[in-house]
Amino acid sequence: MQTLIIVAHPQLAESSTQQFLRRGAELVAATWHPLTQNFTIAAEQSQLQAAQRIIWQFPLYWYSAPAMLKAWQDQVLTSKFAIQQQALAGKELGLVVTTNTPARDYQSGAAEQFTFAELLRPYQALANKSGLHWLPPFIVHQFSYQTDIQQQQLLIAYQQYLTLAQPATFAERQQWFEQRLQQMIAQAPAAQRTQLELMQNELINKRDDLAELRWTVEQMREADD
Amino acid sequence: MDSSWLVQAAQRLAQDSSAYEERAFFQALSQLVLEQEKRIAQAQGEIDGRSWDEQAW
Repeated sequence: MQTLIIVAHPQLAESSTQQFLRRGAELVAATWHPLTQNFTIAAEQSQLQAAQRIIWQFPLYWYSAPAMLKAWQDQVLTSKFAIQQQALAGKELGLVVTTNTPARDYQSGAAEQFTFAELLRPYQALANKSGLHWLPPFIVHQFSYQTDIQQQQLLIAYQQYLTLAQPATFAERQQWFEQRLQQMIAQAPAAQRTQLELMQNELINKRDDLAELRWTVEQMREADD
Repeated sequence: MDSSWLVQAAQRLAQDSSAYEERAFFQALSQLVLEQEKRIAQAQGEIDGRSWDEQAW
C-alpha cells in the first residue's frame, strides 16, 4: 500500500518529534512529503492520486493545523478535483497530530473540555465530502516527556498506523510482528538466525493457541446462550 | 505470572540490539507477547468457568 505523509510543520528541521517520526516512515517505505510555501497544484494532485492512504501530519495550533496546511488544502483540493470529480474517492485519510498537552486534558470537564473526535470534526467532514475513508486519528501527546520505552512503542505504533488496516485488530498486529521478524531473519547473520527463528515459531504457536482458545470460547458461549 | 522465554528473549534483544529501530521493535514485540499471554490466560479462564457447570453434577 502506498502511504503519502504530508507534513505541515513551520519549523520542521527543529522538531525532534517530526525527525523521530520520519525514521519510522522511512522504515515502512512511506512517502515523506514536507509542505513548503512553494508547490505546484497539478503535481500535488497527481501525488495524491498515486497514494492509497493519505496522512496529514501536523502539530496542533489552536485546535487545528498550521496555516500552511489550510493554504495547501484551499489550493490543491479544488471543488472540481475533490468534489465534482471525486478524484480521491475510495482512498483513506488519516491524521497524525502532535501536541504538548496530555491526553487526559481532552475530555469533557477537563482542561481542554473537548475530545479530539470533536476538535478534528472539520477534517472528517472534508473526508466525507471527498469520498475519503476516514481513519481514527493518531495523536502523539507530549513526545518530549515520554520515556525511552514509550517512545519505542510510539515508533512501532506509528509504523503500524501507516501500514496496517485501520483500526487494526489484535490478530493483524500479531501478523505484522511476524512479517517484520521474517524480514529480520532473512537479513540476520547465521549466528542470530536460529534464535530469531525460534522466536518466530513460538510467536506463531501462541497466535494459533489463542485463535483455538477463542474458537472454543465462542462455541461455549453459543451453547450456553 | 513469570514471563515466558519469548518475552525474556525479546526484552534482551530490546537492550542488546545496536540499531534503535531494532530495539524499538523488540520492545514492542515483548509487549505484544505479554498481551497475547494475557488473552490466552483469559480465554482459558473463561473455558474453565464455563466448564464448571454445577447443574451437570
